[in-house]
Amino acid sequence: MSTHDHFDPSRRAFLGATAGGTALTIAGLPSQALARINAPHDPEKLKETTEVFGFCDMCYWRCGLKIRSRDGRAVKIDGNPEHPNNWGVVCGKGNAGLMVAYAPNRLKHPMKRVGERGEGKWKPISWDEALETTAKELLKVKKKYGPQALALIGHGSWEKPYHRLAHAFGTPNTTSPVFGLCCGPRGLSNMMIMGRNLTGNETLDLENCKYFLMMGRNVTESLHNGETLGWVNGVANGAKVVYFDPRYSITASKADEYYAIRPLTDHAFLLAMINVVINEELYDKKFIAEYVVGFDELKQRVQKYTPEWAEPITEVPAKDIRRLAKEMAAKAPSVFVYSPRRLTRTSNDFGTGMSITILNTLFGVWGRKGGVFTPQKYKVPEIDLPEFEHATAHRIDSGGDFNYEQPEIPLAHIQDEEGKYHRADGAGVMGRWPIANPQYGLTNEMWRAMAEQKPYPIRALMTAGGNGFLNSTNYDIIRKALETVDFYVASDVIPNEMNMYADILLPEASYLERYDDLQVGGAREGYVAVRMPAMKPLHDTRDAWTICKQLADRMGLSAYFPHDSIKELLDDRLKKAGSSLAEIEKVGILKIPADPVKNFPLDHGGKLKIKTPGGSTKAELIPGMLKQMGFDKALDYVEQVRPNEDEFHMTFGRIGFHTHARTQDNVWTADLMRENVLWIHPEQAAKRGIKEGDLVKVSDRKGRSGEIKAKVTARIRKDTIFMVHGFGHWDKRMTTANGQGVADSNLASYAVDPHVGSMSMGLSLVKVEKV
Amino acid sequence: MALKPQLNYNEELETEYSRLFILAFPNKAVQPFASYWLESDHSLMGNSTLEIKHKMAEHGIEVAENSGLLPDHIVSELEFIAYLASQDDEKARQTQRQLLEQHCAHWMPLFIEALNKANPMPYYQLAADFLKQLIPSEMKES
Amino acid sequence: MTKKYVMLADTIRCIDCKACVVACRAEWETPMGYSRDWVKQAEFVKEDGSPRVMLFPGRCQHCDEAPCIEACPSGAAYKREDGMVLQDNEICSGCELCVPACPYDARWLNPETNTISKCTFCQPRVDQGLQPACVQTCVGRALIFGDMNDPSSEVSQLLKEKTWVKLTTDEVNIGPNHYYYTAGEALPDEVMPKLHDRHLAGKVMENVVNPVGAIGIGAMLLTFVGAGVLKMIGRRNEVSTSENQEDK
Repeated sequence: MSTHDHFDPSRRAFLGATAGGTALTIAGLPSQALARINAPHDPEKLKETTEVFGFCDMCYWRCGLKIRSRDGRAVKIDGNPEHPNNWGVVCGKGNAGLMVAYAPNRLKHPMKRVGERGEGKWKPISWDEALETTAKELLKVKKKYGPQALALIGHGSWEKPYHRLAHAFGTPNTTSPVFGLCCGPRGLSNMMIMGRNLTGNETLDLENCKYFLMMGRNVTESLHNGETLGWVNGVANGAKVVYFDPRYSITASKADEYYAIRPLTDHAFLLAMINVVINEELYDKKFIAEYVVGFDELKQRVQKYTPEWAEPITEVPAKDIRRLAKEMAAKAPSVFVYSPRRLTRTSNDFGTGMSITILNTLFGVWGRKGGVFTPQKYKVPEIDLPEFEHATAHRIDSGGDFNYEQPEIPLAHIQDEEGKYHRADGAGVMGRWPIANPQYGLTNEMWRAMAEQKPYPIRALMTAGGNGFLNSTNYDIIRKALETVDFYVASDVIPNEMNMYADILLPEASYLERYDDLQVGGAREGYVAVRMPAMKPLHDTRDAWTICKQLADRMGLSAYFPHDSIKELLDDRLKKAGSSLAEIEKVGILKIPADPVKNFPLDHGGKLKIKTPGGSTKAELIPGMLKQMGFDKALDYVEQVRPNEDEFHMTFGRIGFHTHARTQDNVWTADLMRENVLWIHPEQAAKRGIKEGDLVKVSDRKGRSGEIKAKVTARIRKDTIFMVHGFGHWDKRMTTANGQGVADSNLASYAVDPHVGSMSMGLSLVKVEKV
Repeated sequence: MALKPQLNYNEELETEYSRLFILAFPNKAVQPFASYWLESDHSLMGNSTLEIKHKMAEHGIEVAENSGLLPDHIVSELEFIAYLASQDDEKARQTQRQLLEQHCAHWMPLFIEALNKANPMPYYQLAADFLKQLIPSEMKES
Repeated sequence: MTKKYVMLADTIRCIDCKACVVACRAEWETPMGYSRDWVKQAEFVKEDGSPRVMLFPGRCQHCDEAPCIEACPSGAAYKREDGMVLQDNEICSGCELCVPACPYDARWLNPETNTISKCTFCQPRVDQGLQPACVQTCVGRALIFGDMNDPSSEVSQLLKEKTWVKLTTDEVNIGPNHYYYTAGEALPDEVMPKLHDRHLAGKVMENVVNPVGAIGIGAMLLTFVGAGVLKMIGRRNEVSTSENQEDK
C-alpha cells in the first residue's frame, strides 16, 4: 500500500496561484487523470530464476555458491549459506564472476600460432585439429626425450584433470605456484614441527580467539571470505589485535595496536618473543610436557635473541615485546600468531615460518578453542585408476588443505635408480631441494629448468591457467623457457602474457559453465561440495575434464579417464561415498556436522594425534629431520637488506576487489580500480617534488623500471613503497587491463630460499623519481 | 532449425579473421557481437543478445550448439536476416524491419567503423563496405 | 504494527571489499558509471600524526522527510508505509528534478531506462522474504537490515546494544533510516550529506515570489506533470486491457 501525501493538491496550489494561469492548477488537468494518479503504485517484482550450486574460482579460497540463471545465462552469484568456507557471503570478486563468462576478451576458439612464438598472430582451428596436434606433439616429445620432458604448470580453475593427464603421461614435472611462490615456507614449517599444514583453507577457530598477533596477514584485503568473516567476528567478540606491517592497511585500521615494523625483520621480532615467553615462563607448561620435544635446545638457541637485540633491527620497542608476550600468555591458548598467507619475502622465510609455529606451539593453541581446530574429513574415494609411472606425482586429494604431506613413498622412487627421473625442479630430491613439496613442486625452479634445460631436457610445456610473467619475478627466465621448448599448449579462460606464447590455445569454459571434480574439504565440518554449470559453455569452449579426457584418448591414456563424462565421474565417486550426483545436486554440499570433541580434543579430555615427517609423535620445536640436513640453522636470524638513503623497500600486496593477475581485465572489478598506484610517504614525496596523482618512475638496482601514479600517504613507512599486485599487463588482448599501472613482479626480487627453494620476492630495493 | 555458418578460409584469411575479430594484434579486437557495442560494460550475453535469441525463437530459429557462435554474433544475425528475407510472410518482413532499424542500425555502424580503423586486408575491407551498404538498403527493401 | 525498515552499517566490520557494490550492480543490472550503493573510505591523519582510515557503506537513506519526494512533480517518487522510499518508473518522466534534491547523492538518471534509479532497499527481494542483496553478500556482515518496529528483530537488538549514529548535520536533518556504528569515533566531514545549490524546494519558493521566473518554471512543471500523467494513463490502459483479456 502506498501513501499519497506527496501528491496533495493543496501543496501544489501555490504554483497555480502565482503562475496565474489555469495551465498549472491541478484542477486544470483532466479529472480522470487525477483519479488515475492516485491509484496505487505497482511494486517492482523479482524476476524468476533457476538456481544451481557451485564454488567460486576467482581466488583459491573457493567459497560455496548458489548461482541464479534466467534465459540460459547466469545472472547473479550468491553464497551458499551452508558452506563452511563462507557461510553465504561473497566478495566483490566473486560477484564479478559473471564478467568472466561474459568477457569480450575471453578465449573463445581453439587457436593455432601463426608467426613467431609470442608475436600474437593466430588462426582459429577446430577442436579436432587442436587436440590432434597437441597429442601428436606431446607424443613426439615423449618418444624422443621421454615422458619427463613434459612440464605442466597450473594455477587455473580446478587444474586436477591436467595433473592427472600429465601423471598418466608419465612425467613427474607438474607444479602449481602455491608452494614455491606463496605458501611453501609457511606450510612446511607447520608440517615439520607439528605434522599439520595449516595452509589452504586454514583450520583456525577465529571467532573465539582472544588475541591476534599478526605478522602482516592483511586478512581484510587479502580476502579469504570465511577466514575474514571469522576474524571480524573474533574482533567483534573482543579479541585484541596487534598488527605488524610496514603499511597501514585496512587491517591496521582495525587493530588495537599497530606497529610499522621494518620490512623483512619479522623473524627478529618473533625470536625475541620466543625468548621472553621461554625465559619468563609464559608458555603452556602442561602442553609442552605432554606434546612437545626440543624445548631445552630451543631455550639455549634463543638466549641471544633478546628484545633489546630485536629493537634496533625491527623498530619495535623492547618493552612492548615483553608486554605483548605477557598479554598473549594471559589469553592463551585462545591466541594466534598469524602468519602472512604468502611467506616468500625475506632471505630466510623458513626461519620466520618456524618461529611463528614455535610460538603458537609454546602457547598450546593446537586442538583448542580460539586456536587451531582439528578438521574432519568427508571421505570420498577416488576413482579407480591404474598405477602412475611416477607414483610421487600422484596429487593427493587435498581435503581443503594444500597438502604438504610427504607421500609415503620410499625415497627410492624419487631417486634415479631404475631409470626414473627426479623432478626437474628438484623438489623432494635429495641433494637439491629435499624438503620442498614434491606434489606442488617449485614452480620458480621449473621455469629455470626449462630455460636452462637442466638437469635434463624439458621440451614440452602445458599450462592450465596461470600467468608465469606476472606471478614470477624473473621475466628473462620465463621468456627463455617459453622460447626454448619445442611445443607449448596453453589452456585457459582468459588471454594473458604467458599464454600469448602458446603454439596451441585451448579455450576453457569458465567455472560458471561446467562441472568439475568434487571439492572435498575439511573444516570443523567435513564436507564435499559440487560445482554445477549455471549455463552452457559460451563460444566454442570446453570444460577442463573434457579437454583432458579427449587428449588422453588421443595419447593412449584412456585408462586414466575411464568415464564418458565428468558427470559420470562425479556420480561414480559419490556412489562410492554412499551418495550420488543427483543427491548432491539437490543440496550443493554434503557435510559431517561439526563435533567439538573431535575439533577441540584438548578441551574435551581428548588427545592430540601428532606425526611429524621426522617420525616424531610429539611436536618438534627443532625438527630432527632438519637437523640431519643442517637446515635447522634456518631458525637463526639472518640480516636482511636495507635500502640506501635514496632507496625504498619494494612491497606489494592485495586489495579486496582484485586478486592475482586475473581480475584486472574483468570489467566490473576493473571499474573499482583500473590501475595500481605507488604508495609513498609525504616526506619522501615532498623531497622529490611528487604530489598526489603525479606520474613517477620506479626503478630497481637491476635497471628494471616502470611508470606509475603516486599515492602520497602517511600510511606507509618512509623507507618503503607499496603497490597492489597484478597490474602492469602488456597483453593487448586484455583491452581493459593493458597498459594500466605497473607490474610489481617486474620490480620484485628473484632470490631463492636456501632451505626450501621457494622464492624470496621482498628483497628488492628501488628508487622513485618524478617523471 | 539451426543456423550453421559456412566458413571457408585459407590460412592468411584465417589469421586476419583472428586478428580482427578474436585476438587482437596489435589493434583492439573488433568484437563481432551486438552485446559488446550495446551493453554499458561491453559484456557479451547481454540483454541485447537475449532479444535476438527470442526473436529467432519466434521464427523457429536457433543458433546451432556446436557452431561456437552466440545469437548476436554478426554471422548469426546476418544469417537470420537472410533467412527472414527468404520467407514469404508479413511476420518475417516485420521482424526483418524491426531487427534492422532497432537493433542492427545501433551497433553495426560502430562495428564497421572500428573494422575500418583496424586496417583490414582487402577481403574484410570489402566485407565492411558491403555491410555498410547492406543495412540501409535492406531497410529500404523491407 | 507498521514496519519501519532500517539499514545498519557497522563500520568496524566493514572492510571496503565492495561486495555490496558489485552485488547490487548484478542484482539490478546497473549500467557502468553508476551505482545504487557505495563504500566511502575516509583517510586522514590524526593529531599525533598517525594515519587513520574509516569506512562508510552508503546508499539512499530512505529518509522520513525525503526531499526527493517533495521535488518530484509526477508522483513517481513515493514512500511506502514500511518506510521504503521507492520509485514508480512507470510514471517517472526522467526530469531529474529529484537528483539535486538529495543531499546524499543517492539518485541518478539511468541512461538505459531514462528513469531514476536508486537504492530501493531491494524492495522486490524484501517483499519475498529475502535480504537485500548487499546485506546478504557482505563479507564482514557489516550490513544489517530489518524492521526496527519489531522488538525481536536483529536491528532492534543491535540498536539497543550499541550506540548508532546517523549522517545528519545542522543543515541536513531529514530523518535518514540508515544507521552507523563507529564505536564512538567522530564522523569525518567527507561522508556527511550536503545541500546542493539547485535544491529544488528552495528554488521553487524563490520563483514563486518572482512572477517572471515562475512562469518559466510553471510551464516546465506542467510538461513534466503532463508527461508523468500521460505515462500513468498509458500504463493504466495497458493494465486494464490485459486485465480485460484475462477475464475472457
